[in-house]
Amino acid sequence: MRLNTIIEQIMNGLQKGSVYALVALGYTMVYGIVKLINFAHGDFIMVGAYTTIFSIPLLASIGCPLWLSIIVAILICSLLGILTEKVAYKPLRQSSRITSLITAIAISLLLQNLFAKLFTSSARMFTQVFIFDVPTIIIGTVKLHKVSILTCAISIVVMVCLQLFVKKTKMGKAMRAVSENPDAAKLMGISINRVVSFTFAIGAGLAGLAAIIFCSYSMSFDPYVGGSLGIKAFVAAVLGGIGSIPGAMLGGFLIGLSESMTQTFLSSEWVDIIVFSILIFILLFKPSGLMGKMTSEKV
Amino acid sequence: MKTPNRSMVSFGNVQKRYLLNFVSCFVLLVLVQVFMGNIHGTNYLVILTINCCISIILAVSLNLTTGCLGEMVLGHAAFMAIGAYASAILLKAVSMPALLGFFLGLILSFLMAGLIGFLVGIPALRLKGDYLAIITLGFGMIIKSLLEVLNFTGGAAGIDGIPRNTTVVLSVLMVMVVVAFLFTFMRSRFGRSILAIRENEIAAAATGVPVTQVKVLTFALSAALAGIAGALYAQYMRSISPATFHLDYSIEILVIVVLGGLGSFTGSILAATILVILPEFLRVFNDYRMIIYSVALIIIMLKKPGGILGRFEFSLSKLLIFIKTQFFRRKVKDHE
Repeated sequence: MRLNTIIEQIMNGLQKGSVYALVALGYTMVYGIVKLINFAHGDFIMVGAYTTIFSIPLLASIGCPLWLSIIVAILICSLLGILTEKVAYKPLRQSSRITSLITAIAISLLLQNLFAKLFTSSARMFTQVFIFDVPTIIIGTVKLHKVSILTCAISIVVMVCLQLFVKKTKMGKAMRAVSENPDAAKLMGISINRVVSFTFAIGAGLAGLAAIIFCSYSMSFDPYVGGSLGIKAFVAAVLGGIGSIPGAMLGGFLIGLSESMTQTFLSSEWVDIIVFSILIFILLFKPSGLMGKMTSEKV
Repeated sequence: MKTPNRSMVSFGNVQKRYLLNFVSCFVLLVLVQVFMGNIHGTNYLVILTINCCISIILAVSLNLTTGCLGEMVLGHAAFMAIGAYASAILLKAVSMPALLGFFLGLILSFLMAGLIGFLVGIPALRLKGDYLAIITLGFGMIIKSLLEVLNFTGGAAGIDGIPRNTTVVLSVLMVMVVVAFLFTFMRSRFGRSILAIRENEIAAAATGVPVTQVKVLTFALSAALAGIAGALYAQYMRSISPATFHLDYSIEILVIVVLGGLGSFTGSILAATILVILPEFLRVFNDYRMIIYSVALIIIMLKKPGGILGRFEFSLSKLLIFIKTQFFRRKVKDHE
């Protein structure tokens, strides 16, 4: 196989991986704080995608720059995240975790079917590959698409910012404290509710950002897009070590790369088998994930 | 001081209870045979009953690991798939009379699903809690994808032309056998060690319960029972494809179990029946069906986090005693 095909595939994988990574960051933050597999997280992406597609013509008609739609999507997703937490998870914080898992599943079903009902279940095209203008880079015969460069850059920047936020700010410190020991954190005067809401807002906001990136390369989406995307991203979070921010990133890229490599060298039917085999393999030999122990803070 | 053996003390009662349950099951079976035995296999009521039976078997079998052992499993549909494929392949390969084929397919499904469950359980059960859920999810996805890739399972199209051996009576009978087995099983020494592990794993290990062994065998048993549901399904639908046994189906079964109450078999039966029959009533609101379902699920979970029945088990003999005492009390009051 020609070298530049391989490099292109790697770029492809990294691009996919950065979407997984962004979603995985949300999973990892939420799981670190409330120990809940938020099954609805994948559907926040879907909501983000719909928000973008509806906000673009709206923004255009007012005359605002189109990149504002990113902010709109992030805001809407964050609000949805907070709302979901308040309605479905907060009342169940004291009961067994499997109960809140079921409400998470129910929220996911609700969002999917609500959007299918409101906007029909047919796929929507996303034509506006838009917003920023980055030149396509050509090195020798290898063409690097601007979208893939941009997405990788965005996700790495977001990861670094998030890591700095968690490490350096007061809120970040509060988050780490809550994830370490909620009761002790409460005694130190940390408002658990505020921290949890904030975490959900950040996680869902990242899903909103991921939605735009996802749309810009997959070109179409439907109300059920969140399902498999969410599961893969969750696998990425577990792979990297749940609770670890760089781990989520690493896991995301790993999943993305192994997906695109499987697609080129085997066939697309083997993608799930390879991805989940990697997951099982790593869980068996390092249950805390690739970077689970090394960066001991859990957010 | 010797503690009195409770089962010895109330021996007569136990016997009576078993007799009561046995007779009522038999009566129910006869009623099913009389009313539905001769109806054609594609009748609406028959379809509904068989769907109920399959859901019930899946739910009670998952309840064994999730409710009784306390370990969450997200790949239950995959074991059902193995059962379905095992009996489908057998029945396609060898032609035999319906009843013999049904039971042979059932036994093969039971064994195959149990074997795969055992093999999956050995590595998987080293993990706990959410990680176990994720690893079973992973195994479930792999099994489903393998069924799509492999040749002898017919690829993504699956297998069709399986003989229709499942009848209403046979499926109701299988539900009874599975449920009765699980009830007696949970009262056995093994069953009590399962409960001990759920309540406190370290304490159970300290009292001499072989924790890993019990966990893996319970997991395998639960998988094997899911295989029975798969056999019923394959021999009823006549065609199977991997897409049916997707993660969504595993989640659906988990929802039934949690909704019914973790650890309550009768709760699972109730919830499975409700969740099969309710959508039929909601057909009027077809477009909004799933929305209603999900909202109802959220509300039920918020109001009753332990499920509909919690850990309560419905018992015929207890009901009779309850009625008797109520009746008796009223009589006494009347007398006064």
